[in-house]
Amino acid sequence: MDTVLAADAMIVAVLNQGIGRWTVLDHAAYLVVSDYFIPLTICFWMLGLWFRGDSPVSRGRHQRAVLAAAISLGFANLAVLILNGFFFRERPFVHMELASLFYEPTDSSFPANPAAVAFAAAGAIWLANRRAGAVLFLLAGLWCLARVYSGLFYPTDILAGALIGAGMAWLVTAGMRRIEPVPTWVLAGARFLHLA
Amino acid sequence: MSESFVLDYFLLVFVASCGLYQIAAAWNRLRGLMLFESRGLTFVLGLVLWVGAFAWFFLSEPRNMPDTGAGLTGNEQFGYFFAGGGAGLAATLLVTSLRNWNLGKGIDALPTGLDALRDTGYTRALFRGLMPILRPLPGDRRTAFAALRRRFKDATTDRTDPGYNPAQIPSPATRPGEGDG
Repeated sequence: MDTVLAADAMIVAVLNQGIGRWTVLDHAAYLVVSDYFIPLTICFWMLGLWFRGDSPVSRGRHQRAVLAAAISLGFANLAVLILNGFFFRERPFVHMELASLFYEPTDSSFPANPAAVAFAAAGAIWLANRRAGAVLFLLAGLWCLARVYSGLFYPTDILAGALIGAGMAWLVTAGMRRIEPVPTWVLAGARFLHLA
Repeated sequence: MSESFVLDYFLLVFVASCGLYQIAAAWNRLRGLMLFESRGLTFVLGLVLWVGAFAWFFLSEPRNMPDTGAGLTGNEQFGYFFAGGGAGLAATLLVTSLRNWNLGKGIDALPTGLDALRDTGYTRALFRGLMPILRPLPGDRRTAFAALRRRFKDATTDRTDPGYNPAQIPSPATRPGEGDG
């Protein structure tokens, strides 16, 4: 366990040395690490996917995935909130001298909430459309990398968050099949209003 | 400061979502949802709105602020995204319905769902769908409720309106109200 924690800290320290070396990279990381840029891009990607599909059947598949992604995102957030009641891990910048591009959050580092929500959305979309899901996994990965780079999370926090998110996506997608025809009714209502 | 951040976020989502709906309309040939007749122009407009909204939000002032200050919590982001995206959708549907007022005027029946917006504007598609409920045909024994159920069932089974005939749709050259500049 100590080896894992030491490796965790070492990865953060090594990555964090990049801050201040290249201005362009700093600006890019400042944008990517933000609470808004990647989450909004993910949400807009999902919104765009709502319209995607040549036939009602393929569009319906995407729309179910978007519904599953939105629900998974909420459940992943809830799971992290519950786990934070049992585990508290201080942020890397508390124990190490690190450069930062972000404000200093006071909540628990483990598990990483951004990883959980981003991987939940990516996982649910990936189960319906591999290409669209791969783009979201890339965005989620970038966001998480920027967070470690900026000394906000340890890699194991990200790993745990990603597993929670991906697991939640799988559970919700499977659960949506079990509660049929409710998702069909929801989509039918939207189709009736010419919105799906 | 805190209030202005919320408004900024709402505006970002509103404008960017308007852009995204234009991109989606151009990409999926939903002419009833397009602001321009040209798909290319509509796509470019959407891209400009989307990129412009992001550029304005992130370049106008520093946004990496804690939610205890000017920033937004995750729940607030979720709520304002729905509000901004919904407002963007409402504005897009309203403006494009007015813009494409005469689109699909001669069509008797339309497919269900978004596909209807390939041939007509949103309000026309909506009212065409609601017509059997609002004004049942004389001698038709179906009640308004039965008509509503039938429409809803059509939507669940991916069926188009039984009267829908794509061949009936006039070509863009002959479409009423189009081509007059």
